[in-house]
Parts: sequence; structure tokens; C-alpha cells
Amino acid sequence: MIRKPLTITSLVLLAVCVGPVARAQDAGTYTVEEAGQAIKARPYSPYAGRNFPTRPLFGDTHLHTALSFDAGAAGARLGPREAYKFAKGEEVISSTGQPVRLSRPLDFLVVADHSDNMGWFTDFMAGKPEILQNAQAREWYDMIQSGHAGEAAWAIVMTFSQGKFPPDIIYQPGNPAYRSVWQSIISAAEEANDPGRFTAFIGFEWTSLSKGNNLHRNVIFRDGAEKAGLIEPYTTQPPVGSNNPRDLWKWLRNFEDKTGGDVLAIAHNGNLSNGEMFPIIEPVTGQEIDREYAEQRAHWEVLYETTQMKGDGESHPFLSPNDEFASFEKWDKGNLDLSVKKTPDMLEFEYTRSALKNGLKLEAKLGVNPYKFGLVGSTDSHTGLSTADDDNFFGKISTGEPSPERWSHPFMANPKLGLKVLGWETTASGYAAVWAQENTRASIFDAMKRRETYATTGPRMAVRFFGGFDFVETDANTRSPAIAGYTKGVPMGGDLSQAPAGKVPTFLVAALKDPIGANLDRYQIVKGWLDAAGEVHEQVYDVAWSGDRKPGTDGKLPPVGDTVDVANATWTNTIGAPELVAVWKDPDFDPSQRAFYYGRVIEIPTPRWPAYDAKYFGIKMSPDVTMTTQERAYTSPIWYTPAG
Amino acid sequence: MGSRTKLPGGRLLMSRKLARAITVALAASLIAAAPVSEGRACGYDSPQTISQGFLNWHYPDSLYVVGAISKEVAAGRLPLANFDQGGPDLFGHRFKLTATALEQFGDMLRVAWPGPSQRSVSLVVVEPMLWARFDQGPDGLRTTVHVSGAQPGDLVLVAGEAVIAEIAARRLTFGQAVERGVVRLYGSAPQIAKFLLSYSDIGASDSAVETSQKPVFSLASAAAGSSHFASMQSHPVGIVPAELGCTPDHTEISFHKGERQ
Repeated sequence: MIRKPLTITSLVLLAVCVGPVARAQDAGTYTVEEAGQAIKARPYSPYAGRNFPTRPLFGDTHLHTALSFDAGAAGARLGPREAYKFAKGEEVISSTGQPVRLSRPLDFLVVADHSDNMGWFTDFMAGKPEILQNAQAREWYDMIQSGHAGEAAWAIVMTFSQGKFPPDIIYQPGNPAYRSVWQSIISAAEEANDPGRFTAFIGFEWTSLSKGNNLHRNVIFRDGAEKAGLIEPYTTQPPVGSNNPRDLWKWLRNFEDKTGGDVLAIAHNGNLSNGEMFPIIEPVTGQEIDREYAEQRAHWEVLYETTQMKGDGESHPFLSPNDEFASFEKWDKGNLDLSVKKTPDMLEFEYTRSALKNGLKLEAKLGVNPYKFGLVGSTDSHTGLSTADDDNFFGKISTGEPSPERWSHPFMANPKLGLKVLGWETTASGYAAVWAQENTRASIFDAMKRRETYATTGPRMAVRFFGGFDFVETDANTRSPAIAGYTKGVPMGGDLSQAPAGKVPTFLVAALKDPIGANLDRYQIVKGWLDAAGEVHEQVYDVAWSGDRKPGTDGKLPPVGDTVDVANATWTNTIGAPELVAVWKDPDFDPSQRAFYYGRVIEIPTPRWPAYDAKYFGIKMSPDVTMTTQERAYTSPIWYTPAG
Repeated sequence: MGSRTKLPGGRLLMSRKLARAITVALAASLIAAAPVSEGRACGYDSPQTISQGFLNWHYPDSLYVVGAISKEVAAGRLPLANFDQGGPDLFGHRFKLTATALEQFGDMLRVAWPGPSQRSVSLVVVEPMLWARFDQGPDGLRTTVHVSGAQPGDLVLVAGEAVIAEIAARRLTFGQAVERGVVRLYGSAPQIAKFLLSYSDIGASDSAVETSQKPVFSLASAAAGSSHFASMQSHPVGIVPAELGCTPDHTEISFHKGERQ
């Protein structure tokens, strides 16, 4: 381990340098050779001719507005236009009448409303005649008008949730009203898109739910109205739609073939899939996944949303008992609707790290790794407000916006199984960070395709992660480690192939704290590998940390400390470090074994959102409420693949 | 008759109807968290949440009272609502408190306007989505707690549990509550104006409310006059006609500034 501090100035340069450079379409995975092309023999100015991303762009790839059936039904009144306005940094009034603004604008946003019945609720409440001509809809509407809104509301939600919605009024492809809603979403994105300043992606969520098991995917288009407007979003209800991911992939292929456009899909909440998100046995067929499944998934699902408001999915203490940071914002009681309780055997097929490990195993068998994905975080907020900061958390749904009681509200429950998730268990998380050269749809999308992304649980820390075979200690001591990173290695999301004789993978890592956030505790590298016997393993290495702490005999670094004043919801940056940078060499490398490596950056402890609520409202919460957190970032992995 | 009977000394005797309502409320609280099995929606929708959600559309922006109440609690001007505090309301105590406050609120309406000319009013306590109705009975205004919702033509009040309790306890006037946004009114403009004119002072105690602090409402101000109505009318929310999404004969009145962009 080589640890080297950098000055703030140099890391600011690393993170904040501006001046985008034109570049040809750059989708794909970096290899060492390709990355090296980014910096060739340079003139005196180290920055002249630079041809790599210089600052991370922060955004949300997963936001719902009033047009999502469940969001609207739960009181959200903000639509896509308000959502983009808010993401751009403007102040808006929330659905409960509260003024709200982000601490800083986001760089990009994907409004990803549920495709099933998208826009129906708002049209119904507006009394659209095309809906009210249906007898059932008319009955619901009349119930509301005659003082039975509660009964009508419950009837509508139950009918929808049970798939018994009147087919002639369901909003799905082929229904002119559905097309109109989709066009309005596209129009909002087109209006908000401001190349160079703010990117508004067109997207939707394909909300596959199999017996309550979450298999959702967000679909994001690289292109604008000219291509996204040629189709209507794919849904899950047969016969028009399907719950099967393979059918989604076919739809994505058809879209690209038909329009010449580009599209990708991002899955989320494997933790609520009850073992179905990253299968080895395909749930639909009961058979082991085959090469076609692996190829399709690897092609379309290059990213995974590993952290969001319904829990963090990077790792689980049951799977990683030696990882002291694995138990973080866990949602592991059941599937999405809590209709089936979680059992330990499901966990392996739900979490990011175990999926990456199983991906190595499947690659050895099938020749393709279906789980070769990069990482992002996003909110999945259903309020139209993309808030992931603990001191500015506007909740998962509109009735969970700031109030003195929201922490104690049951968020979801199944009394029959004794399962309950309370309001305080929702997580103020997360955002997607993308190393794109320009703030445009094309550039961000292409960076996503090459997995040059990382997830944060909210803080906007700048995180670099390069892998290669030739990094040396001095590479961590330059004014711009990214120059060495791109010249001698690959960035996050990239590939390392057969190690040259006598060489082992080395990693150049750097992290800079969020400028208005907390100091950093440590930078870790998580390694997973497949041994000769076909078994997968994992190891977490501390590679850079604050202060003069020394690992104990067990190899564990002592905790960084804790300055949180819970009663006042404050902390101090008197511990931790503003930046961490190091070069690390894998001490356990076997050139014949497949492996992956990703970075995990941990902040010092800070107040969790209930602490801010308790302080603001002057309330006391029950002792079981978690009041502090250690925010973090997860980089996309770099994979090592031996020859042959 | 209303749902309670006054006994000598001011004690209250619950009627069978109120007792039944408590039972219903208990049952509702127990099913409130029932899961949406085989759900296609996201699965966190309890009947209470959905009812609140629908309210926000049927009476546009009615959940703004939630934000206003939160602000008042944070400022120490309103106590916490009892609803949701300390686990299930197994003995209906919290419901009883709210029902009693609603009865007292109804009494205040009756006293403030003893005549028969007022139209019926429905009020929803937004935290538990508990509806009450105040209409003319043979013996004057009567209060019915735990109805399914407003009847067509009713003036609708959206408020919070603590708001009604504070008015009932004479620590807050209705006019102050409206001014602070913790009560919102939905109905025709004349309905609202008449109600405000008649009932702004209910909840006042002689010592608690200084004249200078009291909102002033008049029919004339409703038409064009007072500073309050002037600010309302110049404000984007103000009196919002149907084109802003209200159901046909609903008009909302709010006194907040800068609450919508």
C-alpha cells in the first residue's frame, strides 16, 4: 500500500477543470491502449490537447412525477416540467406546499415515470371524457364527487394492482391518450434540455413485478424527440407488454433497429427482488441462464442502480461478514410489496457485489458475463423532487415530505407476516456521477455505456479510479493524476487483459470531498475473484485513509471517530481528510484468475435525515431510529480477464 | 342528533354512533398498512396515503396544509398531532380526542351563527383523513363525525388535527388558522366569503386575540376590498377558478404568499 496525500489545489484541478474538448462518439469500454490515446506526447501545457473527462457530472437517472400512477395517487402534483426546473436549481413548491430548492443544481435528470398507466391518474382526476365513458371509471369518478373519495381511491388502486383495470381505458401503447402523455413527457425534456449546461434525458420505467418481486428497469434514450417520439414506452401488462426482461431487451433492440437510436436500461432494487434480480436460474423458465440471456443482459444493462431511497444494494452483512461497512441502509425484510418474507438464500442473487462475483463464474461457463455492469445511484423519488441530501430530504412519496410525524409513519407493512418498514427507514440516496466530457445527452449517455460512472449516496465527492500494470507511487503525486490514469491505465468501467509477465494490477485512486460536505474516512478497493476450483471470493482493502491510524492485528483500520452532535444535527470536519489519493498494488494477484476491482469511498459520520427532522421540529424519536450515517461512493468496477 | 350528548357539568357521553365510528377507525388503522399483494403499484400505498393523495387532486393543493402545519409545529405555534404518536390507538383515545374537538368546533359554529341560513360544511382532518360534517338539523347545526366525505355543494374545510384542537381550546382563531395556511377552504367564492365573515373569530378568547392581530374579513373585501383579499386576488393562488384544475364549483382561498411558482 502506498498512500500519498495531495493538496486541495491539485485535486480541485483534477475535479473542476473545464473546457470540454470535442470528441468522436466514445461509447464502449476503455482498454489500456485506447485510454493511452487520450494523452499523447504533450506540449508545455499539461492541459493542452487533453481529451478526457475532467469533472464528474451529477444527476438522477430515476425520478417519478405526478404522471406515475402511484406517485399521483399518493398526492404528487409536480409534473416533469417542475421536476426539471427543480433539478436545474430553481426553487419550487412541493406537493405539500413547502418551498424547496437543491443546495446546487444537478447536471442531468431522467424523468422515468412508470410506463404502465402513465398519465392515467392525472387525466382521470381531471375528468377526461375518454376515460369517463367507461362505466367503471364513471362509477369511481361519481364516488369521488359524491363524498366517497376514500373508497374510490382504494378501489382504483386495488383494481390497478391486481391487473384488473378496464382494458379499454388502460393507458398503454395504442391508446391515443397514452401517446399524448408520452409526447408531453418528451416535450418537457426537450424544453429543459440545455446542451452544455443541463441535460434532460427522455426515459421511462419498465415496472416489471413478478409476484411482488421487483424486476424494474429504467430505460434511457440517448436521442431526442425525433427518435423517442417514434415509439411508445414498453409496458408490463400482456398482451401489449410483458414482465419478462427478455421481452424488454427485444423491445430495446426493435427500437434501435427501427429508429437508429441508442437506448440502455438500468435495473434497481435487487434487494426487493427476493432473489430474482441477478439470477443463475432464470425465474421465468426455471432453467440456468443461457448465453443469449447473458449476451442480451450484458449488452442492454451496462449499469445498475445500486443505491436509492428503498435501500442500499452494494453488499449485505450476511454475504460479507468480514466487511464492517456492509450493513448500510439495509432493506432486507421481503420483496417489494412485502408479500413474501426474505430468506438468506435469496441474498446472493440480489446484491451488487455477489452479482459481480457470480458474473465471473457465468463468464467462465458461458463465455459472456451477464453481470458486467457499472454503478450509479439515483433517488427513485415519487415527488418530482430529486433530493438525496440528508439535510434537504423530501421523501420517497409526497405524503412523506417533511412533517413532524413522517419518521413514524408505516411506509409499507404486512401484518400477516409481521413485516413493517417505517418512514425513518427510507434512505436519502442517491445520485449518479458520470465522467462525461460534455454536459450533453450524447456525451453522458456514451460515458454510461462505457461504465465510466459511480454511485453516491448523496454527497458530490469527486472519485477517480484507474487500473493498469504500470502505476507507480509518483503517479499519485502529480498535479493531475487523471493524466497518468488515462495514459497508463483504464478508468472505472474498463478492462484489463492478460497481465504482462511479472506484473500485477496497480490502481491509481483519488477522492476529493464534496466541497460543502464531510471529510473522507477512507478509500477502499473491493476485489472479487474466481479461483481455479470455480469458487468466488472477495476481499476489501483499505488503500488510503485519513490521519495516522494503523491497521490492527486483524488487518482492520480503526474507526475514524465521530463528531456528530445528534441533538443539533451538526458535525465538524475536525476528523477525516479532504482528499485521499494513492497507488495500490494487488498483493494477492493470480494472473490466471478472473477478477474485478471497484472503489468504495467512505465519509466520516454525519447526521442522518431523521436527526435533521428531530432538530427542526423539536421532536424526540424512538431509540431504534438510526440518527447518523456514513455516506459513500461506489465506483464502477475494472475487470481483469486472463488470456484464453 | 349529533354524535354526542352533553351531560350536566359538561361531561360528554358518546353515542352508539360515535362508538361505532371508533371501532371503524380502529379497524381502519389495522388495515391501513395492508400490502398490495401482486401489486403493480409500488407497494407502499396505504388507504390513508391514497386518500390523502386523492384529496390533493380533488381539492387542489389541499395537502398544502401539511406543509403549513409542519412549519407551525417547527415554529412552536402548533403542538404535534396525536395521530401516529406512540403506536396503534388501541383504545380509540386519540380518535376520541379528535372527535371531541370536532364536536366543540361544531358547537362554536352553531353559537357564532345560530340562524339556519348557512349551507352545510364538511371538514377533513388530514392526518387520519377523518371527515366530519356540519349541517342543519331540526335543532340547528348538527355535527356528524366520521362520514365518508363531503356532499355535493358542501363548503369543504381541510385542516389538521392539532389545528381543530387548538381552535376548540380557544388558542387559535379560525381566521388565524386560514391566514397561516393550516386550514384551506374549497367552495364557491360567495360560500367562502360568507363563511369567513361569519366564523373568522371562532376560537378566540378575549385575552388571547388582539384586535390588531385578527384577520379582517368582510363581504365587501370578498368582492374587492380588504388588504387580505387584495393580496389574495393579486396572488397566483388567490381565488382559483376552475381553469386551474378545481372541480367545477370549487374555489380555493389561501392567504400564503409565494406558495406557488
